[in-house]
Amino acid sequence: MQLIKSDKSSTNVLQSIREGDEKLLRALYESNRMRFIKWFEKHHQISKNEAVELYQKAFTTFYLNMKDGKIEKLNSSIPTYLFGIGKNLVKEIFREKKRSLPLEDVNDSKATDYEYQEQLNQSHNKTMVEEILRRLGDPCKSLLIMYYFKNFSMESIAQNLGYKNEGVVKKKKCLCLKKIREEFHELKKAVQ
Amino acid sequence: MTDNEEREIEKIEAFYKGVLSPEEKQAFELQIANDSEFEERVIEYLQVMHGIKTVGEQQFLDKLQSWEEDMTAGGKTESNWRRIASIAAMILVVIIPIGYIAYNYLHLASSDKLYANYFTPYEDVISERGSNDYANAIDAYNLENYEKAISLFNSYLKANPNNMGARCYLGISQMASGKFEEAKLNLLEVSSDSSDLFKEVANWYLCLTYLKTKNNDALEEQLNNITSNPNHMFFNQADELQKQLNE
Repeated sequence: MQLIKSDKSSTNVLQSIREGDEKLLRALYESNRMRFIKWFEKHHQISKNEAVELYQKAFTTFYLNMKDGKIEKLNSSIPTYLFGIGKNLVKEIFREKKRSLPLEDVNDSKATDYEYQEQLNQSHNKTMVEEILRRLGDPCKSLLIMYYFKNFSMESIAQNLGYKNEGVVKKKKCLCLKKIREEFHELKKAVQ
Repeated sequence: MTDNEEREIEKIEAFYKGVLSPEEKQAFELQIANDSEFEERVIEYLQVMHGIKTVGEQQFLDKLQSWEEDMTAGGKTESNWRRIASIAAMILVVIIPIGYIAYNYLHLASSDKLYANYFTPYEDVISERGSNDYANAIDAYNLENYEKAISLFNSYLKANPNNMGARCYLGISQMASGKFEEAKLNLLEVSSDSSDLFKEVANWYLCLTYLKTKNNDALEEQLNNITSNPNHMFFNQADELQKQLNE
């Protein structure tokens, strides 16, 4: 089976997904899933759960690269691209496993302490932003996620959320950001 | 919100997205160095923008997880989704690559048409590359030079008769060259090996071989074999083909 053969059709699929075609995205997820999972289970001796997790990571990477404009056109088909990501990820996982320190050595590692603190800070910031977004709800939440995560254009956001034009979306986006930044600032002060 | 505030946010956003010109970036960094309040706002806005992106990523992973749960939960939701997914997958697998098939679906007249609609050589995405005979055969296969691939697979299989991957690709190459009887024998051998990854690939290509050679009983049996297993790699395609044949 060759899922999407020509450059043109791959490009069309990428374009549709970039524009938010959820059904196509899901169909892509489902149609590649079984082959990916079975192959990685068999050839890398990982469990089914690990293979599913690997597939989700590979699919997420594919989606992020596509929407961030890192993939404009594929030289191979989408399944080949997903397998390629999977192969790199599985190598990383095995490298990580090899590199992991025995528990008794962990306290001696200063670099690990620093990285751990950085991760904690990032995770804490994410939790605060998540909480503020949840409190604010829509339209701010949808608008900002469409803009910063999905990389939708202003025009596309206006169409999706029913705003009159791009100018209104731009203004609303700035207002939402300002509001979140102010609440973020207050929350940070409160926990210091 | 004032115009100045709006302009400030846009400037920070341009910095975040890396789209400031070198001169703009230099001026921006100078302003940060000279104005501690501006610096604080910049840091916070950047943290917020990064946080929103991370929340979006988490939502995306949650969505994938919910799809997984739908697919493994069973029951009505799954069958509905399976129907939707199979239609969508058909759009991907068949309509988009070949382009004109939607029209043909409405006028399915013969096995040949169905075969032409469904048959595309299984894409080799899994073979490790090297410099051996197998790699050369796969290279020929990927270049759609099926006659050469058949010759190379055959010579490789003389020394490695149990390599079911090579045998499966040999069968598909033979199909692509119109040698359906030979293809059937090789695919049957792969299909009967219960331990091999290529078993399911061979199941599907056997279906297509039977379709092309109008061996209806064997086709029906093989399609039933695939559609009785919802986790089969080619479930959606077999299910759809079965429906087409029953129309």
